[in-house]
Amino acid sequence: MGYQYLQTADKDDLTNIRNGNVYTRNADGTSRLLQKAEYIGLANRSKHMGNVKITYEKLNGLYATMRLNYRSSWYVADSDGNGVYNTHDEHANGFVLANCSMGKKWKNGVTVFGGMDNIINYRDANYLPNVQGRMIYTGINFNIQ
Amino acid sequence: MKKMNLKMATLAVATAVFFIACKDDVILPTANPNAYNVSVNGNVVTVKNLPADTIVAIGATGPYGAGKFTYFNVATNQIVVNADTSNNNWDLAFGGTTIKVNCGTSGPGNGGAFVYTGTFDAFTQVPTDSTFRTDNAASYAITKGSGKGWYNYDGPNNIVSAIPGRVLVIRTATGKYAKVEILHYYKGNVTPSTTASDSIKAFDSRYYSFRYTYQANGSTTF
Repeated sequence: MGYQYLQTADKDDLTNIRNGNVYTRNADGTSRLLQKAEYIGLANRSKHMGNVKITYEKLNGLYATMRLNYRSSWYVADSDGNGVYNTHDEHANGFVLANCSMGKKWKNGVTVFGGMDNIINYRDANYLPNVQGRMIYTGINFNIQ
Repeated sequence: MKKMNLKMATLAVATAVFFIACKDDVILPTANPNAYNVSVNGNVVTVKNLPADTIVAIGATGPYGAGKFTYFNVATNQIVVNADTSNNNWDLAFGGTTIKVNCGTSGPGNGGAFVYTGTFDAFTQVPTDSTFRTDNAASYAITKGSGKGWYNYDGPNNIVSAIPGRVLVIRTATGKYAKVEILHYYKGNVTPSTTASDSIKAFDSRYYSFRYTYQANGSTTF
């Protein structure tokens, strides 16, 4: 089980915002000063990332696992054109990936297993091109002695 | 007789339905958000979708327009048709990301401009020590280039966005003053997201939406 909290910032951007040199747009397109609280930091970094793995094992060699990965939203572009990443810019949604597997280990070293990755079939073609969708797999492991 | 009655009844019902249906259903034409439009609200004029050498086609080296600037007069709030660099009846000329002012090498007028960092609403007085730049062919009063004038260009995503908090302070062809804020560079008064198609990013570009206040009495206060 793990969790990461990440806060990023560009020092020059912070100085500019503090000095009142950075603006953003209202919904109607008109400009106003950007508040420091609206500043995000660096692009493509998520503030929260976490994972949990639950394993169940029986003495007869049967096992099952469940893994969850979480990533919070991250900002991708400077949509309002002010040169810094802030809450009014384009961002990708946070998401959870869930994987599960189960199998049986025999004393002779053979393991049979099967599992499903990305159980909820989460896809984001725009911002996560390498997440393919639900994947089901099975396999056999031999130990040659 | 029955047939006639049926026909009359149907006609009566149809007529009744017609009148009832039409009584309150006045269908107003909804404003087209992509059409060129000038609206005045107090002393602020908002222009939407002014075409500025819009893309004609995509060639070997990229998208291209016809190469013609669109000339605008801030006193009359209108596009000046058939204007060119020899006329005195326009104040601003828009072509791609270039905005020309009627002065110097761009025209015979008494114009000038500089880019001020601040909000449009808070800009009520042209500072007395301001220097109005003039157009001088390769160098323009409203500086060209990403981050240097009125816009930021996001190269990898191919998006031109107007920098918020930039006011174009203009001296018109007749020597009066105006403040201008560019809102968007794309059709519909929006900036496309990075995931929009290349076709949208090309063919919807070069439609200026901007707002301005013109001071007709010649003073430097707004």
